[in-house]
Amino acid sequence: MSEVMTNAKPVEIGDPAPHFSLPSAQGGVVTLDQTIQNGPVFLWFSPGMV
Amino acid sequence: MAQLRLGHPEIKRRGAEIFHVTLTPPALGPLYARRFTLPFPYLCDGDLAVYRRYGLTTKGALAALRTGLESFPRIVTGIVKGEQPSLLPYSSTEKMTTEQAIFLVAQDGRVSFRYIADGHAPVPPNETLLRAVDALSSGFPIAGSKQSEI
Repeated sequence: MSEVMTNAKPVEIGDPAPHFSLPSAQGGVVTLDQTIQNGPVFLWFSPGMV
Repeated sequence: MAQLRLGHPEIKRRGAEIFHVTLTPPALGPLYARRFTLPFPYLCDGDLAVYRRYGLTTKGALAALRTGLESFPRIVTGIVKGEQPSLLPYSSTEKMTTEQAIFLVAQDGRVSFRYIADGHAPVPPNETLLRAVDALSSGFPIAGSKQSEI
C-alpha cells in the first residue's frame, strides 16, 4: 500500500478551497466554512505525530 | 511545529488562524492533546480524505500509518512516560514521500497563498506568512508556491 493516493492537481491560488470538517485532537469537530467567517485560515498539511 | 508555534500569536493578532491537518488517526489525537500543549487546532485526517481533496501526494502514507497503528501500544506507553512520538516522515518510514503544504484560505473561501514541498523541507518563514495575511487586507495577494519560489 505505497501507491500515490491522489491524481488530482494541488489546489491553486484563486481556487475555491475545498471545504471540510475534521475531528480536532483538542475536542469537537472543526469546520473550515465556519472558521473563515471569523478570519482567514492557514491550513498546514503535515503528517503530524503518529 | 516550533516555528509556527512561535508565529501563531502574531498570526492570531492579525485575525487569522492556523489549522494543522495531520495524518493522525482520530483515536490518537486526544492522547496527544492531553500529553502535549498544542498551540492551534490539530486536526485528524486519518483517512487522508482532506489531503486528497487538496491534491496533495501521499505516496506510501498508508503503509506508514499501518506501521504506526501496529506500534500503537508502544506509542501509548511512550506518551505515558513523557516521550515524544515519532514525527512522520522523520521516523523509519523512509519510503513515504508525503508532501507538506500551507494554504491560506481567505474569508471569501478562496486560496490566496500556497506553499507545497516535500515533507523534509522547512516551512516558510513566519514573516512570509504574515505578509500573506497582510496582503489580504491590501488587496494584493502574494503568490507563494513551491519551495524553490520562496
